[in-house]
Amino acid sequence: MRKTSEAAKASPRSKSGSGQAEAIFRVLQNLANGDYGERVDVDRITSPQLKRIAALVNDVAEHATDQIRGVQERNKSLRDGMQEALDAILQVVNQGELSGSTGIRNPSPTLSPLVKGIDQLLATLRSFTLEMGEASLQISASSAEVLAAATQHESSMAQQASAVHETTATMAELKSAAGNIADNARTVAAVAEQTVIAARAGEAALKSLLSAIQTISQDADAIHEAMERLSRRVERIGSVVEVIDEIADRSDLLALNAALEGAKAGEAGRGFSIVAAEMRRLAENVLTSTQEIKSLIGEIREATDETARATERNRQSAKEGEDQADQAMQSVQAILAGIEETSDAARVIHLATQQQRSATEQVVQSMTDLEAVTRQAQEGAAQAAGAAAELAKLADRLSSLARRFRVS
Amino acid sequence: MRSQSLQREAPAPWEALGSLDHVSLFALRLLGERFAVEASLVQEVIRTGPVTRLPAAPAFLLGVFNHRGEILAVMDPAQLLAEESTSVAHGSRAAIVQSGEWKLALVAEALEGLLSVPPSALESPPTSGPGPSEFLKYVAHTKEGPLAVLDLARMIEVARARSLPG
Amino acid sequence: MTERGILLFSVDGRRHAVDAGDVRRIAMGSEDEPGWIRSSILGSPPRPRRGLVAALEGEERALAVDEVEGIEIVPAADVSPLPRLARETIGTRGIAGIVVREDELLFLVDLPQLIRESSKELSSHAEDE
Repeated sequence: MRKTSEAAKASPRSKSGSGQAEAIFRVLQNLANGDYGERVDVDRITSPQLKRIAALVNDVAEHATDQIRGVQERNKSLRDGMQEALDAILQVVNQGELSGSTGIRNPSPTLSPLVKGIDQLLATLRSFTLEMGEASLQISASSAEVLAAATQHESSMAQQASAVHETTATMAELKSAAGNIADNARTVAAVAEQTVIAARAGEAALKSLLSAIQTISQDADAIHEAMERLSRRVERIGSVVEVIDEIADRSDLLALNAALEGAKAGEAGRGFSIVAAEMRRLAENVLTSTQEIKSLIGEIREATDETARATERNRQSAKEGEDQADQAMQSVQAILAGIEETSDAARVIHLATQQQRSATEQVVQSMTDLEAVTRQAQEGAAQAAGAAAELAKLADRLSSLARRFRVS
Repeated sequence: MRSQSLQREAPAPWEALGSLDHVSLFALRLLGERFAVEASLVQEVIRTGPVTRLPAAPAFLLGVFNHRGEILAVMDPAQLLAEESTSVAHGSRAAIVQSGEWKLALVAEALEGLLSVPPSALESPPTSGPGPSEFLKYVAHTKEGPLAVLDLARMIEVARARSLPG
Repeated sequence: MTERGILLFSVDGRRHAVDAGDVRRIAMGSEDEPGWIRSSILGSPPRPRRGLVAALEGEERALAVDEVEGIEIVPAADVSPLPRLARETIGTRGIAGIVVREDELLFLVDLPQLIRESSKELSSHAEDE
């Protein structure tokens, strides 16, 4: 910049007064145009007013020029500072140099916020880069772990899935078995119930049987006595008949012998033979009758004996029956007690198996859900594994990025 | 039908019939085989009806029966010939035969009836000795086969000889 | 004789006849009468109620029988001797003939001969013992 002293002087072209104004005008125009080099040659101005204006213009121009010079200097130092800052930033950008600062120690006040800002930025970048590096390492490590875990998880999931599947199948079997048990238990309960009813009926029947047996015993005694009386009477008749029989037999023999003699005598003995024949007929009639009576007595005896035997048998049977009925009664009562227990037990079993069945159903359901969840988990694990792999890759990239910046 | 046989004692039995042009025989079945007796000995063919068994009787004497008021003995020739019983049911057919003073009933499996043979068809039985041939008079050759003609008199003789001691 | 008197008796379910003249008398049967014939060609009576008593060589002997059914007069023509062949071949002389009745033939027993033959059996057994 030319110094003011070196400023061209604008002399008036003419000594006239207008020419002197023109010279001032020219300098003003130049000032307006930004040219601060020209001054008015004051000496050549004769008019005192113009001289004063011209001097003012020259002062303005000088002032302006100084001002401008000052600004220009400030700008220059600003530009230099900015250039340094820019260089520092460029260094960061191009070479990743974060370890230092801008290097600008005494920045002009104008630059100071900028420099401070840039230094802060660098510091921030530095710490961020450090953090990033660490984080990427951690991420790398973690993602490796995740991948390993995910892979492990995947195979465990597969095992679990198959285990769950097996368990589901087993549970299904168990469910049907439990169903059978429930049915059986229900049947047992029903049978037990029926048995209770039957046993109670048996009990009642036995009671009435017992009383019937006792009645028979009493009747049997009465029959026995009656039989004894009958037997004695029959015996008396029997012995009478025996006597008659013998007499008739002898008569028959007598008649036979008479007939025999008659036959031997031939014609002479004819009448004798006839009488003998008659006698024989009589004797035969008696014998026939006694025979009938004897056979009748025989029948009565047989019947009596049979009745006596039967009565005795009845008596013994009644006794035995009584004993057996007692035993049976005890047994029935024991059975009843046992059945009631069994009935309760059966009912309990039935309930338990029903509960078990619903519990089993629940388990089966849970197993099915678990299976679904496991499948989802498997897929999730696969996805996780994939994601972990991706993450690992990213971490690598991040790591390499962070490495590009020098932080110390 | 009766043949006009002459009751002569000739060595060859059929020579007694020499002048005749045929011999009448009565064929019957015993032991499953064909036997015959001379037709002249046969009086009639009957059904025996019930036969009353006798106590202590030999095997060939089946018993006695009532033939129109006449009590006749019933003989089983098979017992004499071979000690086998002819199975006789009630009402079996029998032939009433008379050989000299001996009149009796012979039972058989079947009674075939009369037939005629020429004398030339007759021949001596196999040499006599123990066995059925003892009881044969001759053998007749017929269209249906050989026929053993029984010697009834001989059979009765042998029967008497075999009576049980009593 | 145009008629004969015969006594009908039974032994062990079978009926037989004997000439009235052969029987001296009929006796009451008993189980333990000594000398009675309880077994013969006619068999053994299971329940002898009677005995047919005959005179044998001066002493009385009896044949035990189940029953004496009766005494009958029959036409002589109803009684035949045994056919000769039968008579000569059976092992007893105790059957004298055949009595022809309506629907059956009965043995006409020779009572003394029967008793004699049966006694021989008894005595020969006794000797053997």
